[in-house]
Amino acid sequence: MRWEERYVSVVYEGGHSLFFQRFVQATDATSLVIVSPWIQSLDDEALSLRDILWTIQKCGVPTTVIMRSPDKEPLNRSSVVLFEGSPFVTLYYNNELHAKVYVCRCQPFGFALLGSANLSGRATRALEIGLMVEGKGAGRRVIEELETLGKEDIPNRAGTVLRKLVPDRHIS
Amino acid sequence: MDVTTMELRDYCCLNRPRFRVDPESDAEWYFGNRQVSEELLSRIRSDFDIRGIPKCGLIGRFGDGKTHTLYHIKHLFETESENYPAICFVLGLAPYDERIPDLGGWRYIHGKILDAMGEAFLRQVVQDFDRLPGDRTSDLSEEMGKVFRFGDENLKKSLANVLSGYFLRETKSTLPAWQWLRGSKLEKGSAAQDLAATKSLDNAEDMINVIMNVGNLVRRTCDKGIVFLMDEAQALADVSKRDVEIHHAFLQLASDYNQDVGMVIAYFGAGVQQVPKVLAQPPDILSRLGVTQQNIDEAFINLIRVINTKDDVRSFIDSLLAGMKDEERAKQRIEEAGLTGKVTWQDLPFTEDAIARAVEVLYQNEQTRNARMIINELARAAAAAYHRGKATGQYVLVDVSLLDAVTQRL
Repeated sequence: MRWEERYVSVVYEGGHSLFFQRFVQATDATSLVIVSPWIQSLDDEALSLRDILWTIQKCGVPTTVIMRSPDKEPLNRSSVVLFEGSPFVTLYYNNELHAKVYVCRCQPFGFALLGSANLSGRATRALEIGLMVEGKGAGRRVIEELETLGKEDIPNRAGTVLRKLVPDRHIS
Repeated sequence: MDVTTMELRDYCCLNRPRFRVDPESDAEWYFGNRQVSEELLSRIRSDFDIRGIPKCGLIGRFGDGKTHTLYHIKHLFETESENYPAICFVLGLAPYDERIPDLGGWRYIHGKILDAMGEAFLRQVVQDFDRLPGDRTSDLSEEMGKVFRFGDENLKKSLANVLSGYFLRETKSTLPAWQWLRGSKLEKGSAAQDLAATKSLDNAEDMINVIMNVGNLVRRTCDKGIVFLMDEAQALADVSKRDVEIHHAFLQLASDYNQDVGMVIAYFGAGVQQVPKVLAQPPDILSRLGVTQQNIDEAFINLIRVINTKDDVRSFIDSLLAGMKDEERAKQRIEEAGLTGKVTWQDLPFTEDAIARAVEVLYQNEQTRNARMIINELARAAAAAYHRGKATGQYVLVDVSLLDAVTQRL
């Protein structure tokens, strides 16, 4: 199989952890999309949400987060507090959300995780399955499509509510 | 009309799922400065007359519409075949990296060319050739070999055997044939023997000869050439150790002897002088394209001028907004929301003042004066109005203040 054809692999263990380990080491990350119904602070994990947000802040990565509202899912409260404190995060709620998609655009090409794992501590230990897509060869279109899904398609659906824009997009 | 339950496409009455232009599905669109597209098409038409097939290029920055232009050319070739008698294939040349064996050298580009044509096309060509009328006395392979003009007799015979043996009927796997066409080494065995190839494709010259011979075959079967629309050719700037073979392969394509296989090369850059060195040095390729470094812009059209003046920006925005709108639904929405007189169906959800401001803001910076950035900013402004509308339950238009808020970071 040629190099650019090897653009997808199955992730059997660790849920989302492989994706975020790669994100914090990514070169010139320009965009991060997190789509997960349940998001927790991951305080007891090797890589916590604070660590992820620190990388977002340090590298100035425009980030779009779509999750269920904490009014419907109280477990999401701690993460919402953290997201609201980050100037680089645009936050949406959609209470019908069930997809779990994580996309990072960086050099030399982006990568994405599409699977069953929520961004929660439990997901790193539970039986989760995912596909890690590399943005090379045919995978490039997949990454672009998944990024558009997170940045435009789900945000522009009827059931999605804008919670917070990043300050430079703030609409008074 | 309940704004809170609308999706963006309903809110803006779009005739598509997204506030986006897709290079492939919107290939018929071509907005902006008509002079540039006329220059490009004029070059392509004159290439048909002078060189038998288009051999030229285009240059643009990110967002200027290189990919869209290539698909637009493909669209024209498909819909106006009387003016553009060629079959087009789009392929991307990136990534190119000689440190990774699979990603460097002409073999890599040759593989992309073959993939762009694909099995169905090759099969069709072989079957059409087999159906050509005439008093055929020899077998298909022998007849085919007579059509080929490039390479030695062994190469012509091998190619004819492979094409006629594997692509005429769908009775066996074409994998060995593809391995041979790609220049891969075949393992000894029945498949290798079955190919009846007396020569393998050892070097770039053999590979480019195969492609040009396929061009001969297409010309013979349907009196058309084939043109490869090569996107992301800035990747060729990374050619180093393999520059001799890649330069030679492009030189063969540019040669006057080749009138059946063309190329339109699109690469990233701010000026025509940034043509990748492997194409420009030595200048024999440029010479075959009829230009020198001094008048290179005659062969490599600069897309930066597609949206170059305020009028171009305005014209692009007007065409874009009207083109992606469902007219009936937009008129109905204006009536339902009581917006008559405040906005036109073409502009919805933008007020006239907001569009005028968008032209000013986007024109002021060269980085935002391109198709992608204009679409991005209009999409962001429309989404901002949509979310504000959902929050308030009212239809919110994009007015000057909302547009300013969205574009203030530019």
